[in-house]
Amino acid sequence: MTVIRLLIVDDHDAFLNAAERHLRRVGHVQIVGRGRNGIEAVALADELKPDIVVLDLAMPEMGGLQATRLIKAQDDPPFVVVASHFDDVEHREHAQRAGADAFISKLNYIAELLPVIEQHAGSRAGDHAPRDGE
Amino acid sequence: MSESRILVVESDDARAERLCALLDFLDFTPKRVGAVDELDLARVKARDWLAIVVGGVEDLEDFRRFGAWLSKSPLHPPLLALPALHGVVEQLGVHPEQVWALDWPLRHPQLEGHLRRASLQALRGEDAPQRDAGPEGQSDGVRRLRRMIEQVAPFDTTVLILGESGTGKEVAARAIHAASARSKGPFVALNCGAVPAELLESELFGHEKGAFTGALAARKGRFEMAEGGTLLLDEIGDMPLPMQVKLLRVLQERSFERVGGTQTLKCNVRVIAATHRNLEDQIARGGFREDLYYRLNVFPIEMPALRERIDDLPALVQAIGTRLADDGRGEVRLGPDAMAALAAYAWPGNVRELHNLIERLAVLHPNATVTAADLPQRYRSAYDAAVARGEAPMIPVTARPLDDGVAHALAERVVGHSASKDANAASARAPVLSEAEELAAERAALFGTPAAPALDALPEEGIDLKEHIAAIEEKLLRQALERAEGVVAHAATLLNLRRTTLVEKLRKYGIERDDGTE
Repeated sequence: MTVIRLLIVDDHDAFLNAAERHLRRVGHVQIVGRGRNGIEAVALADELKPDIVVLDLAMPEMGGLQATRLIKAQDDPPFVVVASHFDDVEHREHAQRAGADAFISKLNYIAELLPVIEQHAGSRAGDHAPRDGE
Repeated sequence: MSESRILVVESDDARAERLCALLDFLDFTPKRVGAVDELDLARVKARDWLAIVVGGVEDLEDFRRFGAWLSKSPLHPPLLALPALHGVVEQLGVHPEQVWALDWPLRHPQLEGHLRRASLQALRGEDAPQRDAGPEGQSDGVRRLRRMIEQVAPFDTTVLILGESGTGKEVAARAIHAASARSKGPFVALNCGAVPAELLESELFGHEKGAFTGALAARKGRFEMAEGGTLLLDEIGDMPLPMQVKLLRVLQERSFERVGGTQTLKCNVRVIAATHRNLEDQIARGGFREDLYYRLNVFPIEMPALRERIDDLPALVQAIGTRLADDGRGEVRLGPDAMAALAAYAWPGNVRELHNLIERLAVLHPNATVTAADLPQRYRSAYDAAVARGEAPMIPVTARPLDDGVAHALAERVVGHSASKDANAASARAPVLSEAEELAAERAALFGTPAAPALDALPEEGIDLKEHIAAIEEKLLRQALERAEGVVAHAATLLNLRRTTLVEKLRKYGIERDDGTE
């Protein structure tokens, strides 16, 4: 199976450490970078060209929604997942409007992220046709 | 701003501990201070916190100063006040609407509800960076737009805002709200396309407790939230037909019921609808109700696409850059080739896309001059191709002098590139005559007689004025459509008509069109 290159972004190191520990156990996932706010996320996404970026919704300096918008402006943009403490219609609506491809609850981070990664891996493995940018 | 950062101001250690323990349990990261003078206000930003929980305050005067500092930042986090402060809400130095009461002992759902609301409030602030700016630029299109907003704002007229995505439909809606008598009331927006169909009704009208699985508590809908203010229904074209019926009823009767409710609620809300879709086409296909369309289309406003007002580009870039610099981001300077490349780009995402690009450049190239090579590929293709062919890139024709250096550099660039191509460009822009007109012109040239009497000369025998004018109109419509390659929106621009007006006229004359809007 193709390796999925992941950039994870959150303002809490402890959270990132825990996420990384879990994700490292998944064979075909490679964490290529970690960012601590939206600004770092934009620069890292440009530099590392990951397949998927997982952004915390709320971070200092620049939050996940604004980072999503800016990342989606890059050439061949990555698949963007927004992770939010609050999961309801309005929060999802904001994420979708910003151009996020998926939304997960932070309270259930790994459990909700894994199927999103699998789905993305499947859609990429199948054919190269639709990048999920639109 | 961070949903996970919560400031706790509490002089009582035991209570502070219990507060922080609950916040920790809810997966938030509280920071506790005994009093606000422990904070170095020069080094923190109000929006670093999602909310500020305030319990025991020993020096109210000190706190009031802190409140005043908070108030300086628009959409600052709310104060969640414990009962000790409920009597002195007015003295905390912030707008009373930003003080939300908490019970003690804390109730988990109440705290969680307040924090959820605070998070949304922060997102709304983040989501509307241009909230008060109104549409910017000096092109004719934007001037017309501003005039229309001024015209319609004072009345409670329903407004339908049409235009491609990213043209700033919400900005226009906010500008209408801000210039209306309802400006002190709430502005609430709902993107009908982003809400699953089965949840839309409850989002709009709210629900009673137990109305459906998962409705654990009664909840207000957007109509109730917008009471006394303005409700923007964005992407109205994506609203499912059954909801359209319900919406129509609300617009007619100014009342509704919550889902699962029996009580009829009155509402005093101005509705603004917006869509990037062609609603007439949707009506024809059976996807949109004609009666609702007429109800909404009382005052249509057409948002100009960025490529139709590309001479606003330097001014827009500058305005966006200034705003970013004010927010503490690096300054963005575009080199002349970068500006020329952007002017040659088609901007399907319009001003929103421009905004995102400029902000991205500010992050990646702060305080440096951005060249065309720094732009993502899609922004360079048209320009690169034109340069490779040795042709002038399509450059905005500036009707009036632009006041910044960039525009001058831009103009030089144009001259440098285009001098030899002027003739070609001019002939390419010449109006295309229809075959019939060509024949007529040819006949006139051959026989020396006009193919038709001069349009504004009254013939001996008199004329049927209505028919005559209609014939002229039809001819002009056909020419405009032809020149716009069948794209109605562009043809409308050529005629200085609203697209909807043009569509009506085309229908009247039975003129076929290729619709390029979808």
